[in-house]
Amino acid sequence: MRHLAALAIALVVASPLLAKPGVDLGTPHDCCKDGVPCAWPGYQKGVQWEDSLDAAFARARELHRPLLFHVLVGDMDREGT
Amino acid sequence: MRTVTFSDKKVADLVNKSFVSAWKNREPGFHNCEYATEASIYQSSRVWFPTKNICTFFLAPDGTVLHYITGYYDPSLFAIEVKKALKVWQACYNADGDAKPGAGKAFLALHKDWARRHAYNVRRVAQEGTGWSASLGSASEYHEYLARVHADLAKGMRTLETMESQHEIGNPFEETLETEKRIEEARSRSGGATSPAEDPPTESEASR
Repeated sequence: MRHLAALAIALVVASPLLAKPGVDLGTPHDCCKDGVPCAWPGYQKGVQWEDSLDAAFARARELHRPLLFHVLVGDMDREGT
Repeated sequence: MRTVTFSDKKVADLVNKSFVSAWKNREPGFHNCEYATEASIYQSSRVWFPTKNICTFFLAPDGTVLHYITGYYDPSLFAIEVKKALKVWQACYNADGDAKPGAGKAFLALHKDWARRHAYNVRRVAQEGTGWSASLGSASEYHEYLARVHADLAKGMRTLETMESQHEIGNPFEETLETEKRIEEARSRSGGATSPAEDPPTESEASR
């Protein structure tokens, strides 16, 4: 029994992680083009982003919908709990 | 969030159907060039961890904060918070996007209820020893954080700027001042509609 358990663990550890659908992980992408960062392939497959917060507000008023506003801060020194 | 949660089909469908979304990088150009790192993040099974450098706000078109969360949420947990924000929106605003009468009371009731539920789950998880546990954030810490968030929101409906000037749980960064400016501009353009934040809770509601 212990041998079977050890074998199962070994198989799990050795197997590659299953890729989630929607992204071809086997094809590295260009990270930059002409000095401008490119989006990671998975980024643009989900939530649709307006060009700016102004545009989002205008569209939200037009559609009578709430907004989702996501903010990313790259400075990890300001990270907290 | 963008690599995993915002790329998740269920989350995307839910958000795209009900919200208008905007993204802001505080530092333009910030990104991770390492494909392997990003692929690793994409495939990771982390559930939740707290960090202030990732903030998601759910706002009404008049700029009122319906709900906010900071940190990383996996798709299933994020969907729960999206649905909470939608519930607040539907309870407080009509189909034309205007605040309903008594919106302030409905807002407080919802957030107080969620604060109570998460506080209960902190104790339940501790007693039962259930939920996930990870180096970056456990189920107990998740419930504790959200209990704090909802308790904070239950102080009343506020704009982003007002909220941030009062404490540090929300996004503490400078770009929110710019956001507030835009919100004020949006309000003035829409004819200065009264914010439901000005609808005060009753005495019994405030003291409950």
